[in-house]
Amino acid sequence: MINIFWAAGFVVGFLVVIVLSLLLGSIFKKKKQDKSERTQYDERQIAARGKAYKTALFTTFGYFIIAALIDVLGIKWAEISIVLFIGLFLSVGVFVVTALFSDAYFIDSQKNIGYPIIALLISLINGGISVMNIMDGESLITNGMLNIDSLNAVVCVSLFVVSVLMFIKIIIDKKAVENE
Amino acid sequence: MKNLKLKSARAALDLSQQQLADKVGVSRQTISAIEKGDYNPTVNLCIAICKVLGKTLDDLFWEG
Repeated sequence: MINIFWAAGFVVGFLVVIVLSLLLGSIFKKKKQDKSERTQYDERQIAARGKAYKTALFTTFGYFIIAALIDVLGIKWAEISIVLFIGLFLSVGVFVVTALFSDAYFIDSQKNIGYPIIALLISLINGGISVMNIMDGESLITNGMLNIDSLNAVVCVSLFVVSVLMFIKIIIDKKAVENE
Repeated sequence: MKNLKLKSARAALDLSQQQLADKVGVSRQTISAIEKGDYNPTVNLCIAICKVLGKTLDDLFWEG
């Protein structure tokens, strides 16, 4: 039985994060425009971005087809909300990693070291929350299915993978400049 | 296929990939991708590169 206050808090919290992200993003963009530092992307980067969107889209298609087939077979491995959130994180993660490795956005990854550090910090915070929940006696699995409490663990793993790949990209870029 | 003509023309002017990229108005990775043969530039970008390096399209991009 879902506690209505907990569910309302979850939804409101999620919406607040989205609204804050959009707000901060627009402020950051405006600030850059004011300073006439608006990044101009070249033709290869724009093409690479399209490829990243396409890869993410087809990954999402593939994931939901597989998830639907597994459901039809009667194998229930996660609550529907978790199935959807994993699909969302997977598609965003694939887009970020594809864009990152094709340099679709960042020209100099060395100057953007803050992003992997932020991703790693958020990952660790979510991991910590997940561990605290487990220590409080809450299970991540109900009736053999991942429940909504496992969301922090899912975020932790997703962002950890993304942050590690970001660090690897920084090393690759550094070596590419050295070997030029 | 690697574009060694572009690489040698750039090296002849003692330009790094970043310096050439700045002059052409693209990212260093784009110059690197063209030299490695991982990206086929548009004619506009080819012309911009040729102008900076003082070469013709045939010199840099025609595989004879």
